[in-house]
Amino acid sequence: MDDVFVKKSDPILEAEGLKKQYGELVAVNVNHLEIQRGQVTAIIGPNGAGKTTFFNLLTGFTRPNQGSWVLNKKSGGQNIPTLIGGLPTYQIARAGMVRTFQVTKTLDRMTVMENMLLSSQKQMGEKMLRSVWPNWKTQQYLDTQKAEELLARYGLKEMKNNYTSTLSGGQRKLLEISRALMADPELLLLDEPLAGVNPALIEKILGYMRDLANQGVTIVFVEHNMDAVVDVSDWVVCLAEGSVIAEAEPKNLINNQAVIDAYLGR
Amino acid sequence: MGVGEVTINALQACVGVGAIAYAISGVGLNLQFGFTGLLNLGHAGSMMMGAYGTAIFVEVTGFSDSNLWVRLPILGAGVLIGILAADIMGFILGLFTLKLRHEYLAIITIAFAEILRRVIRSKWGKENLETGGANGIQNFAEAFYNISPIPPNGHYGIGDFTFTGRQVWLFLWALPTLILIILLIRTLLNSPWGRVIKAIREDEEVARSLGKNVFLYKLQSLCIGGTIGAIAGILFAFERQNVTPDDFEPELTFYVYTIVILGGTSKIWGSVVGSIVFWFSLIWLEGIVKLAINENWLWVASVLKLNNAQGGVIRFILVGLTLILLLAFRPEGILGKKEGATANG
Repeated sequence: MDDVFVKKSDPILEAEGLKKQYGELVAVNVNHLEIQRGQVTAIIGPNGAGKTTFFNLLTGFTRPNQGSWVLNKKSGGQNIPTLIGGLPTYQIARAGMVRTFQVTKTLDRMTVMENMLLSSQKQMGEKMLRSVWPNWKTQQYLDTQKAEELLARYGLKEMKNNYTSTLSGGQRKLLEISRALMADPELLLLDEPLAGVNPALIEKILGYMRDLANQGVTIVFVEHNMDAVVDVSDWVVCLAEGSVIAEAEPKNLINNQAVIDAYLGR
Repeated sequence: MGVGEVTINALQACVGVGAIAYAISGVGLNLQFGFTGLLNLGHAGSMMMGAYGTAIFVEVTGFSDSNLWVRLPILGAGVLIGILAADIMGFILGLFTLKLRHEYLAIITIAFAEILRRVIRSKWGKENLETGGANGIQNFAEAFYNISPIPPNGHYGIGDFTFTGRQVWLFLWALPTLILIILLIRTLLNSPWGRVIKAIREDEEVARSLGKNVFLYKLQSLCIGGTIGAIAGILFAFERQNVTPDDFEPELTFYVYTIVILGGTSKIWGSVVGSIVFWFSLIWLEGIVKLAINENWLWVASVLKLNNAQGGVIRFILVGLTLILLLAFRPEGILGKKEGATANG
């Protein structure tokens, strides 16, 4: 399989021969996949198709049995590190690829603002020996302002001093997205950002995703809500049994027979 | 002996150097357990490494030298070596265990500390490492007391509430050490470094997904906590002028856990409050139980047939009971806030 792949003009991420097996079960087996820079790409597929495992492989949470992926292969002279899969998770995040989780992970015994500040990159106060001397406070002040702007944009500003355990499900989703953005990612991976979210908030989150894409952030997301997928994505990749069975623009993909058979089922 | 005397004894114990040493040890454990979420059950091992590192170094180098100005620097170097020994232990332990899940970390740390203790206690340790075996090492900190400006045999205090000159001299060092350590740890925890540490406690996957080197932070936390544990162990050994392997049985770790939980996990000052309450209750209960047996209160001696040896155990039963009740009704400890302790706030 997998000869369905489509070459992209400016890929931010290229996966090559990525394979993950659990015993006999092949969870992910992607021969080649490219993600176009600056676009919103959706990954769909039936439960157990390997979507979350694919995310875990890309972000280093799971080690592949074989294969690799590269971020910014053609960096066009910019000083962006070229990365090969298999790096520790934290280095992947530092390289500009930040994810959210299928089951929202907020840090409950910390405030909303602490959640946000944690995500800021290259903080000198995070180094043990430098944290003792408070000259990190200038940076923290700037980070706080940036966090407040983000929180205001996503309607969480009033809760900034609340413990995150007091937030509602939807607010947690929003916090997770704003927290990821605080790290200034180039590539944002959202694992089911709309799961368990009410219709009005779905509209909002989709709007935010489009805004981010317009600002140049590349988004890859896993989602089951097909209306939302068609609404927001520029490109859709369909996984089944670990492999890519089709990729296309959304309006073409929903009429693809393989996708209908494996996933949409009508 | 009456209730008044028992109470004064308990009051003396809860502000003494022993209580300060336990409070310091609690601060170190709290950093690991309360703030980083590392279930380290080998904390007694760090304390032991500190105490033995100091004592062995003094013994093999300048123990018998009669010149104070030789013995004193050697004792100072011994203290540093004790701390270093605990650090090395924490580092090695961390390298092999920090990628494991909580329960495995707990098992390995308690086993590692106990293995070390057995080695120190063994004949092999006595012959090859100068550990003194089961008898331990005595009088290694004499140089410290020799430079005391306070007459060692005087008594200082009010009425029955008095301390010896030696106790006061050690106290004058122990209290600033405690305060300094608390201020340092507070600074660390209020910084972005501390924020990462707390995030690891809450959910280490989040910390990793946001670019934090979780392993390094855990290792740092383990080593700082171990350093503080070593300082506590050294103070403890200085107070008694005696280190024996049986002072560092696993139950010591659980006493320190009691102190941390009593005062409130993830409250730095909690360990101080916890230690005061722990020592007061322990010594007060010991005295009261003894009094009850001797004076046959509630027929404990005539009907329940308790003797003094059994009485000594009862206080630990009561302390254990207190801990259970505390965890059931006030899991956040004395200083803690409700949000901190329960899962759903």
